[in-house]
Parts: sequence; C-alpha cells; structure tokens
Amino acid sequence: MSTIILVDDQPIANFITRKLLEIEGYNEDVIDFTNPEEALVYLEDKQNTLIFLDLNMPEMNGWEFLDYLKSKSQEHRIIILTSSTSTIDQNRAKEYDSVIKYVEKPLNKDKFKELQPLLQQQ
Amino acid sequence: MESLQDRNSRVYRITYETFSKFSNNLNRCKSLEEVSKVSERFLKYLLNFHLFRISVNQAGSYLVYCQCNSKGEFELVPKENLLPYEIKILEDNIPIRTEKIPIELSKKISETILESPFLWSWTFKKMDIDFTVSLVADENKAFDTGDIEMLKLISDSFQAKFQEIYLKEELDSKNKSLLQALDIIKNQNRKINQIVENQKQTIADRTKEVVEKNEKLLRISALNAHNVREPLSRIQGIVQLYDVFDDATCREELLPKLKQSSEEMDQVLQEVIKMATTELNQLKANEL
Repeated sequence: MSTIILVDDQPIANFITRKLLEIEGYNEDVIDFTNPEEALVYLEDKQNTLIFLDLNMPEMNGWEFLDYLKSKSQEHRIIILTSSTSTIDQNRAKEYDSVIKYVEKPLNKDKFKELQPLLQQQ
Repeated sequence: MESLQDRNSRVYRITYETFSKFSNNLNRCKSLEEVSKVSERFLKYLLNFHLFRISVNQAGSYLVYCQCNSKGEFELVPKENLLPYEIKILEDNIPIRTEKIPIELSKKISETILESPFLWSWTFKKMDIDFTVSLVADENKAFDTGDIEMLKLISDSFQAKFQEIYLKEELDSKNKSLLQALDIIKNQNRKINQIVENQKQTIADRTKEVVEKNEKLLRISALNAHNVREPLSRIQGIVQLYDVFDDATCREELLPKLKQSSEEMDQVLQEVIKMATTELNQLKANEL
C-alpha cells in the first residue's frame, strides 16, 4: 500500500482523518502535514500519491498547492477535504485533472465508504 | 396760346406722373416711417387738402395715418377709439361731406384759418379689409368730386402698403416667436439630456453601490461558510469518534480536542457576528 498524505493546517482535522483511516485499516503509511509547503517538499520525488487536501489554509491555500503541482507536472491523486460548501469551490475543483473527489467536512463513515474504491486503487 | 384741352391734358399727365412717382416710392417702402416720408413729399401734389386721414383695419384694430401741415403720423387704435364719424361710416357705409369738422381734426389744423371747410369721408372694402379715408379741404385748398378717382387710387396704394407692412411685421413676429420657441426647445432638450445623463450616472452609482453591498454580503456569507464550518466540522468529526474509542481514550485524546475546537468555534462566531454587525451598520449608514 502506498503512502497517504494529509494536508490540513488544523492538527485536529488531520487527527480525525488519520483516526478514520486507522479504523478502516489504513493505519500505516499515513503522513500528515499542517504546512503545505513541507508537503510539497516531501512530494518532490513522489508520483501518484493519494492526498487529502484542505482548501482554506493561511500560508498556502489548497488552490495554490494544486497550481504548484500542476506547474511541476507532478501527477498525484487529490481528494479535497474542506469545510467549504461553496459551489464556486466545487466548480473550480473540477478544473483540475488531479482532483478525483470533492468531500465536505466532516469526514464520516458513510463518506469514507464512497472513498473506499479510490483508496483501494493505491 | 394753349387751348383748354391741351392744358387739361398737361395737368392730367403731370398728375399721373406724380402719382406714378408716389406709387413707385411707396412700393419701395419697408416701414411706416418711410411711408410717411413718401406721403409727406408727394401727397400735396396729388390732392388739395388741409388734413388727410386713412384708417385701415388690421386684425380688429385700425392703423391710422394722419397727414396735416406736411407732417404725417401713425397710430394703432381699437375700433372704439376711432373718430365717431369713422365708426358711423364703417357701419352705414354712407359717404360724408359735412361742414362740421370734428374737434379732433380741427385742432390739428388750427394754425391755418380755414375758409368754408368741408370734411369728406368714404369707406372702402378690399379683400375683406375695410378702411376709411377722410380729408379736410376748404376754398383755398379745394377738393371736389373730380378728385375722388385720384383719392381712390391713393387710398388703394396706402391700404396695399399698410397690409404688406402689417403682414411682413406679423411674419417677422411669428418668425421671432418660432426662433424663441426653437431656443426654448433646444434649452429643454439640453436640460432633458442633462437629466438623462444624471439619471444614467445615478443608476451607475446605485448599481455600483448594490454590487459592492452584494460583494460585502457574499464575503460575510463566505466567512460564515469557511470559518464557522471549519471548527464545527472538527467537533462533528471528533464526536463520531466517540463511538469507536474507549472511555479512557475519549477522555485523554478526544475531550481536549473537542474543548479546543469548541473554543475556536466560539471565537470564530464572535468574530463573524462582530464583522456582520459592523458591515450591516455601515450599509445602513450609507443608505441614509
């Protein structure tokens, strides 16, 4: 199983996602980042990584994160995990080929079931 | 020795040559003042009189020209201010030849001692325009029925010229009125255009204002969506973990995080309420 990356400026948000992953059996190879730039450094030599990405972050937001990956032609599989319910954000996410799913927080068991096929492609 | 017939022919020719000059000069007149000058110059050679007066109807009022002692003058009077004999003759159409000279006329020729004076007066109508012609003559300046034909020609010339001047003045007056109306319309158009421009500007300003208000409301809405839902979603996420973990784990790991997220949510809510209140107060203040 490949590594799963969690990018959210809120440590509690990463904690919740990590715990849900653990409950579903993904208790290894999960790395979380509260600083998106550190995540980008980690991803420099990686390809096709599954990333849970928050959008509203103070230093570098989720869109900038996606743009950076696009500019570097780095191919990863992004699940946007955000508290935003805005259709503007939802439509904008569709413009990125790397975004495979848009999920509104809170992540729960039902939403997780929908993500299972994506996780199993790892 | 010149025969009587030759003499009469010569007088006749001179009279009509004079009338021709009078008529030509009158035709060239463009104002009543010019008419007066022509009349003062020629009329005494065409007729014998002490006073000549013609009153021509012009749209209800009468233009009166009176020439006495080689001095002519005009006045415009309403019908009721004509001399009584004129009003009468206009009504009964009966020519007058009388020794009774109205005081209004005799006063004008008071410098001359009249010998057996007569007032002659006729009324004519030409193209629905009525007018009276009067003259005062005496033995020194004798007028007789043989002069009536010349008087008629002179009267027609006066009446035609008066009518021409009157119509020209009326046309000028109407043209002037039209130009004034045109100026008023132009001014009104300018004002209307100004109002339209102002309205456009007002609409543009109001539209801009509404767009700005909407943007502010959208910002508040977005703030609600992002900032409030962020800690709330964490609280919801932690709560669902309570079903999975044992009590000790819940107490040690989840409870502090729940507390922290609740405090963050309270803080965010206070900020949102404060910002929304400030923005709404500002919008209301702008509307006032």
